[in-house]
Amino acid sequence: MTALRYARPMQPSTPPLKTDAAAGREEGASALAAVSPAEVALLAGVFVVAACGLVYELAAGALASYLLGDSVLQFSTVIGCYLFAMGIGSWASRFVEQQLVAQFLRIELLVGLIGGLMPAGLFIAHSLLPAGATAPFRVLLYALVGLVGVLVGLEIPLVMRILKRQFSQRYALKELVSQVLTFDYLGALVVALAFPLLFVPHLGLVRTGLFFGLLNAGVAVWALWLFRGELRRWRAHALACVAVVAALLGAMAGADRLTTWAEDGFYGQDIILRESSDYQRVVVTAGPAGVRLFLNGNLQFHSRDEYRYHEALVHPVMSAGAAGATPRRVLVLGGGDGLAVREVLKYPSVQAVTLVELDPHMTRLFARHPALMALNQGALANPKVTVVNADAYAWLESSREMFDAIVIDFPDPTNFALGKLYTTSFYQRAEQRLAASGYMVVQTTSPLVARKSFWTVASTLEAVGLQTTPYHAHVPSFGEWGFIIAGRRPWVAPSQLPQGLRFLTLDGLPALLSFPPDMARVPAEPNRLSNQLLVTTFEREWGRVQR
Amino acid sequence: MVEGLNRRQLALAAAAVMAPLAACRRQATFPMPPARWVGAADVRGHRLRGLKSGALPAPAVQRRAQVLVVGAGIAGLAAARAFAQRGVSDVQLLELDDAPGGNSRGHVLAGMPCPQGAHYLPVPGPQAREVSAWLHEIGLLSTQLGRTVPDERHLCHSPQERLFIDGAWAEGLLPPADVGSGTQAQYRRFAAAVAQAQTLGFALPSVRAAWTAEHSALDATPFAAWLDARGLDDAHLRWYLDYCCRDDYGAGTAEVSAWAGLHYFASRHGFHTLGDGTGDSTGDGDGEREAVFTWPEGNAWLVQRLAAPLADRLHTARTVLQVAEQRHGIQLLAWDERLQQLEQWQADSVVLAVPLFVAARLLQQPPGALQQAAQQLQYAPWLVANVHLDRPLLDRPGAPPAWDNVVYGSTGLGYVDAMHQSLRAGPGPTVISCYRSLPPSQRAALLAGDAATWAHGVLRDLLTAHPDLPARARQVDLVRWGHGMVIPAPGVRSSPALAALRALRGRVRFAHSDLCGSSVFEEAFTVGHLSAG
Repeated sequence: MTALRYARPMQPSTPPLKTDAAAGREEGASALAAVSPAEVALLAGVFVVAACGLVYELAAGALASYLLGDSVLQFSTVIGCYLFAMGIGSWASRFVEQQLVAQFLRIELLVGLIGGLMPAGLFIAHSLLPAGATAPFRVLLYALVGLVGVLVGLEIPLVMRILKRQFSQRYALKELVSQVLTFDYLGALVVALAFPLLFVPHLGLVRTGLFFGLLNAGVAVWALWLFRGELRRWRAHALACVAVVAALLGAMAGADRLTTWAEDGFYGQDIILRESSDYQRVVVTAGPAGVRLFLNGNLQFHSRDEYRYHEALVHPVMSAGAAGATPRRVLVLGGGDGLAVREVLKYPSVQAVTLVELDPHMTRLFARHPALMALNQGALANPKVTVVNADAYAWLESSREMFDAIVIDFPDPTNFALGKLYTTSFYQRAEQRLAASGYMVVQTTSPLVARKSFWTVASTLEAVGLQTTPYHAHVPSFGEWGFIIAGRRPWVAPSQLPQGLRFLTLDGLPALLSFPPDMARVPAEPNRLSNQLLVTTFEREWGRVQR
Repeated sequence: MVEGLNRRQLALAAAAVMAPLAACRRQATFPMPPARWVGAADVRGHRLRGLKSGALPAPAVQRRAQVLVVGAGIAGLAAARAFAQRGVSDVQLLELDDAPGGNSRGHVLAGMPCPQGAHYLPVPGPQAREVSAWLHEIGLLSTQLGRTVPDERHLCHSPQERLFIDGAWAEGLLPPADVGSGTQAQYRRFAAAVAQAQTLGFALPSVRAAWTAEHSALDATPFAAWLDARGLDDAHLRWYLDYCCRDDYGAGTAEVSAWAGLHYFASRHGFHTLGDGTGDSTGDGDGEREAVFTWPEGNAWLVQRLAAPLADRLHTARTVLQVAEQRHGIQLLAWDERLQQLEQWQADSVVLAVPLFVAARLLQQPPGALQQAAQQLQYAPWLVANVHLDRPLLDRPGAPPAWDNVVYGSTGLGYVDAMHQSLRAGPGPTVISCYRSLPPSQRAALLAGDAATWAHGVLRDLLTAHPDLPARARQVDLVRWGHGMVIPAPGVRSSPALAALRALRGRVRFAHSDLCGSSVFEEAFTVGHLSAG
């Protein structure tokens, strides 16, 4: 029961193997045949060390790509910097002359600590730094990458020297180098595959970093035990190990809070609001480019160009026909952000606006949050506006009010529940609430990307006896976007638009009404509750784009 | 539930059935939610069994009506409506249960409406004139530009049906067949056989089609034997046909007649395999053709609209004990279950809208045809389990959750999601209604059995498709129908006794789907309506 058993494993306690036949083979084979547990463990250590080394590099590259964009540039510079730093480490290893094991142990702990906390630290730094301040972030990124690189560069030469010392009788240099580098590269392969396929999807970047930090610390603990006979100041080393493991475990426990920082990374901007309602996850981000709203990760608007969308959605129906004939009672379905209501309120003739939005969370946010109220200009707090939190379908069934204009601004038909809001049955109910001379308008996904979906909605509206006027507008955040006006009479182009519009003009309108051949009408069946054609068509068309 | 399987099913689909059964047996123990019996008052009905007229107390109340209708199922309600339409203002309807509807009654579990039995109505074809007229009246159908258009809100929403087969959900209930496979060839041959049978004349309601010697020949043969004789033996096809027969007639292909088996398809939309339909490879056309009306509470939605105009002319909780035809009218004794007293009714005529075996017990001098029919008819017991789920079930790969969800090879008939028609914005708690038809031999076991055991069987049957069902189930409300539906066994539809009863136009008339040999809404409604003529 002494350390000697580990320190001198080359005196095999197992009987010599295979006699003559084995002796006749080349050196390497016999060495392999008599390999000891300690040797296996040391080489496993090399494997782990190599794996960890690569993970930090990948994590730094992935993080930089997430947060700074331009993944080719980020990966290339991070890897270059890291490899160069490793070279410095390898070169510097010559100055480590004494207490190889103790130095190795310290390096392992340092790599584990710094490397393991690097993703978390970078996320935090990115969130704390003022938005757009990429320069300080880059400095920190490359400093950390360099530091970890140097430490990782020190590891392998030290391991080789320890192995050489311990197993000098067994190994020639060529075998040692071959063994160590084999496991080094093997570890690299395993991690290179597991990092994108296994670790990031399941653990996330922050936890992956911490996990490999713990592995590094584990190697240190293992070395501490393996060489307990020859280490001086063993207690101090043990204490350091405990401290590092504790720090990493603590960070692991708090990783959830760190991953919310990670969300900032995904949205690429500071999140000013992050809430989950019964129906959806609402995230609002703000950055130098503007405010964006995401529902379940899907962009709903970007303040940079939302005016294009909402002006195009609202004014063609609100201004339709002769000047002065503007609607007085307006219904907005969906659109809890109040941006469509903001456009509606530009007409002094409007006496009452009813907004029916399913999610009370949304309307509350956009009625109270200062940054969001600035966007909709306090539309939801306007005394003319009545907010109803109800399912639009059920509300239409029960309502007896009549409206001069109806603006239908639902999310795209991505599932059967939303698909029901695009059916003949739904439009019939909307039509019953529409005044004789009124029009309604439906936001209708992209006629360019989802051409058949767009024209399916047109067919659906026509199937309930309405006359349609399809048009489209370019909204940079979304691409080419489509809308359809429907009414009992043909739509009459406006002769006047409200003051101060930034996108819509009387001259520009005809261009929106003209459909070039790549968006031109295709035959489509009406979407009914009993067939829900639109959901499948929509999924197919958008799926093609995303693939 | 090996005992619930008949030999034919075992022989036809042995491999397919045994695998899930084996899986079930392995997982046979699981935590059971509370289960209880609800619905139909069997005690009241069974009071008739031991009744001796001498033992009755003196009537406490004397009442009079021009026309009495006994039984507020679909036939009885339709009869009462038809009398009122013909200007008979004094038509009174007596019902044993506390609510009208018969096996179209509804239930409420955890605040959610769900069916106790019948739960859908296909959009009626041109022959179901009476049903169509009434649906127009209540707004389910309307005429637009000369075309009859159903109210889509009440049509079954998409996705309608799916089948759990080979570890995944497939769209539709017909087991998918590889193109060019033996199964596909047999599907085609059966479709051709149905198309050929259609030339003989089939209609729903069946009284609208002429009855010929060919019909009689079909009615004399068991459906299974008819299929065997044509070499239609593919396991997938035979499972599907057996499922259809169990679903509509309460008995499998071995028990029902070839007439009934063909009538199922020939009287409606025929038989179509995917891709052979209207030329639209997505099968979109099929949805339109097979459109059905349905509601969370099932056909109770229809019952409510049928019963509402009757107002106080509908007397529930009245167990009719005796009907006697006298020289100047009808004398009827009914037990008022609420006041626990006997009522004596005098009427000019009576319509017995009850199963024929009950009518035979009620009438003091039953006609010979009625006694004959009562002996001939067999009834399938049904078990309907409404299961309250606190949240949606996890789903296996394949087609998304649908209205009707069936497990291939299972003894049950699958389940229907009561919240499917709700239009709510997201998934949430729901009630699933699991259906199972049983052989008549299990009637006694169903009456005597305890709720927990039967509920266990129902959940176990769905375990292969939904391993998390027991964990999600909060409550199981079971409805047992001892005489759920008449089985259109060979010889039933062509029975001279039934024909005689249909033609009867005296003081005592009969109105029940039994008269047509199959328990479907269109038959019941039409026969009820015509009884007023």
